[in-house]
Amino acid sequence: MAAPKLRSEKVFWIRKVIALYSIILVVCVGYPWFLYTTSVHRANLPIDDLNDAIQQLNNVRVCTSVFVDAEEDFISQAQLVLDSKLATEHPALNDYWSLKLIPLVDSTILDSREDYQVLFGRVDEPVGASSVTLDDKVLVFEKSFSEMDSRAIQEQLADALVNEVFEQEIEHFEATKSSHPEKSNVVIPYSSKYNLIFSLFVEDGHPVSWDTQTIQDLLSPLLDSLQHYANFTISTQVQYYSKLNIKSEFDEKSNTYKVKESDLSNFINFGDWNLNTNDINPSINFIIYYPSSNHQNLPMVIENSETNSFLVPQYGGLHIFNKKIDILTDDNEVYICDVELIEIMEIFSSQLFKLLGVPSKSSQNLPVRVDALTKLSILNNLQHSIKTLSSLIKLTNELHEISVPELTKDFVNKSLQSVRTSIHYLMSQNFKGAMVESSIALKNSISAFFDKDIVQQVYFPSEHKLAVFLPLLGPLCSILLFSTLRLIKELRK
Amino acid sequence: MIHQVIALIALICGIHANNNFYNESLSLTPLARNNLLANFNFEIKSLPKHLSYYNESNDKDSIADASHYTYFPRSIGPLLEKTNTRELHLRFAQGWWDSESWGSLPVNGSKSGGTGVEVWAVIEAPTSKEALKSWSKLAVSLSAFFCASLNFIDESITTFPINAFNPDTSSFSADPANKLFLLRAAMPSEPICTENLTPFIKLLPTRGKAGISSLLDGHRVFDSLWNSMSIDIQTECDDESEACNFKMDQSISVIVDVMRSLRKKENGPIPKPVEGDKLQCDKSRGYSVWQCFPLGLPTEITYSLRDVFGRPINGGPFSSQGVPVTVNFKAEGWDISFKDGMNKVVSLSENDSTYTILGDDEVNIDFKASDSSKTVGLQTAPLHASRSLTGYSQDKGGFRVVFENPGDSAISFVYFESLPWFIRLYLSTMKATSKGQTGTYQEVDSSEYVTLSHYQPAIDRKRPSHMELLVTVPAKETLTLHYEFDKSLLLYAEYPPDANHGFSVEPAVITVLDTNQKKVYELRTTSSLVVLPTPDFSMPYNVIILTGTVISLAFGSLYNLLIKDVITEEEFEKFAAQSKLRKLRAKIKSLKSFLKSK
Repeated sequence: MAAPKLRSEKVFWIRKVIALYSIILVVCVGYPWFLYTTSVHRANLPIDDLNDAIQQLNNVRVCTSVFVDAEEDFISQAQLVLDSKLATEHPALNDYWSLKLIPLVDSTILDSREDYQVLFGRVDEPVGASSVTLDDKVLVFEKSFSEMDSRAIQEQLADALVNEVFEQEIEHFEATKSSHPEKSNVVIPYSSKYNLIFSLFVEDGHPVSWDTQTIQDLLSPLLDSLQHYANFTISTQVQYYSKLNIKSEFDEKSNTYKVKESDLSNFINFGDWNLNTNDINPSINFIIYYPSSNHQNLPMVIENSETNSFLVPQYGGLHIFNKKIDILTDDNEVYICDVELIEIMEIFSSQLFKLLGVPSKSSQNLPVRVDALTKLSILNNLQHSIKTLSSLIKLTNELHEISVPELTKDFVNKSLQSVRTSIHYLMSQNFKGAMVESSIALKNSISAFFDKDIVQQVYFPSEHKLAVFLPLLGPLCSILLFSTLRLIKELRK
Repeated sequence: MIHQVIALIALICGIHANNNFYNESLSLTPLARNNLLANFNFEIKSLPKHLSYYNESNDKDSIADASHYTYFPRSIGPLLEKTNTRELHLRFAQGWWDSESWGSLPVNGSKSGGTGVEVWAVIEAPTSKEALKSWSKLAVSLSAFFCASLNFIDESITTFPINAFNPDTSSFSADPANKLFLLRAAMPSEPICTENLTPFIKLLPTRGKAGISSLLDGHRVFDSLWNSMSIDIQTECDDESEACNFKMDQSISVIVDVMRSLRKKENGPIPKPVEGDKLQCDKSRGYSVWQCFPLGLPTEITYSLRDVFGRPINGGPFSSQGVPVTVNFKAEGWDISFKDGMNKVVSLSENDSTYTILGDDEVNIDFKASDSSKTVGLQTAPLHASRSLTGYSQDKGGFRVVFENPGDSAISFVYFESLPWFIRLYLSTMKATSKGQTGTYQEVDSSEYVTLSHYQPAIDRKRPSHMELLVTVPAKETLTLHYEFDKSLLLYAEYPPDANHGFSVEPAVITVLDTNQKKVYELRTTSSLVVLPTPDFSMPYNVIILTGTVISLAFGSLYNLLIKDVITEEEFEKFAAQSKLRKLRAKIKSLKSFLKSK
C-alpha cells in the first residue's frame, strides 16, 4: 500500500536527485580520491627488459680466440678436430663454451699476456717427441711442420688446448652448466673492491717490525693482473699483546710447540684482537702470528701443515711465524726481513687466489688462470644480478603494500643496461670490459633491491590505514548506504 | 746474507732505541678531602704518508697507496682519510669539577670536556656543504666506533666556531684550492660509560694489557667524582719530505674518592649501614647512644693503587720501554713507595717524584699519609663560571651566567654558547650586574664588559644559535649576565621518547685568553635541562576520533534533512496509522475484544 503523497512531485524528485548526486560524488570523486591519497608510489619496473636480459643470458656463448701461426687450410682442419674433440669429451658444454682458431697474421699486434697464441717452433733440432711449452698465453710447439704429418699435429694441438691450457676453465664451465652447480664455501662473494689487510700479531710486548714495502712490491704484479677484476686496497698493521685462546702443547720430541689441527678454528681470537674494519667493502685478512716462543728460540708449529699456515674460508689466512735465526737478546726490536717475507707472501698469495676463486692448478700460469677467473666471474655476476632483479620484481608483485621508489627503477634500468653491455662485450670477446660492466650490474642490482624505502613500507600494514580512517569513514558510509537502500526501495515503487 | 745484515743493523739500531711512536705517562695527585686525581696520558704517532684529498667519485686506490700502521690504530686511520679530517677532537666527560676546592683543571682544561660528548674537527673541503657531508659521515663512523649516539649529529646542532677552539697549530690541506672548516657539535645528554671506555682502550697499542692502561677498569673509572676522556688527533707535516702523519693524544683524568673506594673494597659494591659500635663520633660534642655527631674525614690513611683502581700497573708498555709515573705530594704528610713483583720498594721524595716502570712485573704504589690534608694542591683556577636557568613558565625562560675572577688582574675570555633552535634567544634582553670589591651587586652597562664578537641566530631545524662573546672581568670582580629566551613548540614527531625529562642544553665553553690573545685556560659550564611544553602524545588519535564523530554527526543530520521529508505530528500520526505494526496491533486489539466479548 503506497504512502499518501504529502509533498509535490517536484520536491520528491529534487530529494532523489540530491541523494543520487551525493552517491555519485562519493563513488566517483571521493573513493578515487581516497585511493589516490592513501596509495603508495610504485614505479613501473621494466619486466620486459628483464625477461629480455634473461633470454640473452641464456643464449650466451663464450668463445675464445686462439691465434695459430699456420696456413688457413691447416687451421680449418684443426678447428674441425678441436670441435669434435670438445663434443665427444665434453658434451655438456654443447656450444656454450668454444674455441675459435684464427690465423696469426701479424704477431706484433698481439700481446703474449692478453691473447692466446700457438706458435710452431722453428728449431731445427728434431729431438725426441714433440714437446709443448706454455709461456704466458703462448703455446709453443717445438716441432716444425715438415717433421710430422699435419693430422697428428692438429690432434696434438687440440689435445694441448683442451687438456692443458683450458682444462680448468672447461671443468668450471661444465660445473656451472650442470643441474646442481657446486657452491664453494671458501670463496668470498664478489665485490668490486676489496681491502687486503696484512696484520702482524705479536703475542707479547716485544717490538717487532717488518718490511712493509716488500709486501707491497711482492703483491703489486699479482694485483696488477687482477686490475680489471676488482680494486684492491692494501693496508698493514702491527698489534701487540695478542694472546691466544687456545693452549699449544710443548712436544719434547721435536722440541716445538704444537698447535692441534682441531684447535685451529679457535686460533684467531676475534673478541680480543683488533680485527674489525669499519669499511663497507669486504676485507681479506692475512695474519702473521708472532708467538712469544720465538724468544725461547723454539718454533710453534701447526700439526700436519707444511707451510705452518691455514686458510679461513671467506675470511683470510694465517701463518705462524718462527724466526729462523736465533734472537740474541730480549731488548731489541725484532725485524722480519724481506727474505722471510717472500716465503710468507707466497703462502698468502696462493690463499688469496683460493679466496677469490681463481682456478688452481699449478701447472698453469697466472694469465691463463686469471682469464678463467674473469670469464667465470662475469657469468656469475650476470646470473647474480639477474637473480636479484627477478627477486625484486617477484617481491613487488607479491606485496602490494610496499612502495617502489623511482630510484629503484633507475637502479634496475642501470643494472639491466650494464647486463646487456656486458653480454655484448662477452660475445665480442672483450672479457675485461665485460668484467667491469658485470660488476657494475651487480652493484646496481643490489642497490635496487636493498632500497630502504622498500623495506620500510612493509612495516606499515593496511590495518593501520583502516584504524585511522574508520572513525570518519565508518559513520559516513553507513549513512550513505542506508539512504541508498531507501532510495532504491522508493524508486522501485 | 743481505737480510742478515739488515737484521743486524736493525738489531744495533733497536737497542734502547727510543720509541718515538708511542709514549705514555701517569701522574697522581692526592687532593684535599682524601681525593686522588689521576691523569693518564698516551701519545701515538702514525707513520708518515703523503697527504691526499679523498674524493668519493674517484674511489680507486692504487697499490702504491697502501697504508701502514704500527702503533697508531688501523681502525681510525682510514676513517680520517675518507672524511678528509685533518684534526679531530673528542671529549667524553661526566661529573662536575669543583674548581673552588680542587683548583684549575688538569692541563689547563685543554683536555677536559663538559658533561656528555663533544666533538670538533677540522675538515678539508672545497665548500662548506661538502664539509658538512664529510662531517656527518665522520660522526656516523665515530658513533659506531665509540658506541655513542654521535650519529644524531646533524646540521641542526653543528656550529662553525670562530674564536673559541682556536687550533694551536695551523692545519695542513692536501689541495691548496680547498679550505679548512672547523665544525663542532655536542651531545650533553649522552651518558658516558664502559661502552665508551672499551673502544678508547682498544685504540692503544697496549690495549689495556700492559703499562698504565692496565689500570683502566670501567667500574672504577666511572665510579669517580669526575672523569674526562679525550682524544685529540692532529696532522703533522714535514715541509721537506711532504709527508704527513697523525699525532694522537689520548688522555683520561679521574678524581677518585679514596674513602669510597676503600669502603667498597671492604663492603662490596652495595653500601651497608655502619654498625653502632663502629661509628666514628665526635666525643667533644653531645654523644650518647641516641646521638652522634660524625667526626671529620680521617687524615691518617693508608691505601694502595690496587685499592683505588682494583688492579696494579702491569709493567711497562713494551718490553724495552718504560713508563714514567709521577706522584705530586708533600713530604711532610705523605710517604709514597713503589713496590714491584720482587717486593723491591722504592720510595719517592718530594723533589724526585717520578719513577719509571720497566719490565713485565706488576707494580703497586703505596700511599701512606700521616696527614692527608697536606696536599700540593692544584693551582687556583683563573676563572670560576656557572650557568643556571631562570624563570618557571612553560613558554619562556632565561639564563644567568656568573663569572668570578678570583685573580689580581683583569681577565678576558671568549664565551661560546650554542643553543638548540627551539630556544629562541633575545640578545636585547641581556643585562649585566657586577659585584666589585665592595660586595654589593649593581647593574652595569653590559657593553663595558662584553664585546659581542659573533652572533648567528638559529634557523628552525637547520641551525643552532651560535654566540661568541668577548668578555673582560676586572680583578676580584664578579660579573653576572642575564638574558632571556622563548621556548618554541616542536612537531609531534620531533619529541624524543622521554620528552617530559626535558631537553639538555650543551655546556658553554669558556676560553681564557692572555694578553696576546693566546689560549691559556679552558673551562666549561654545566649542561642545563630545559623543560619544553610537551603535548599529550595520545592527542592525534583523540583528534581523529573526535573530528570523525563530529563530521559524521553534522553530515548525517544535514543529509537526512536534504533527502527526507519533514512532516507535522498529525501527518505522522496518519502515516503511522497505516504502518504494518499499527495494523497488527489493531488486529490483536480487535481479537482481544472479540475474545472478551465471548
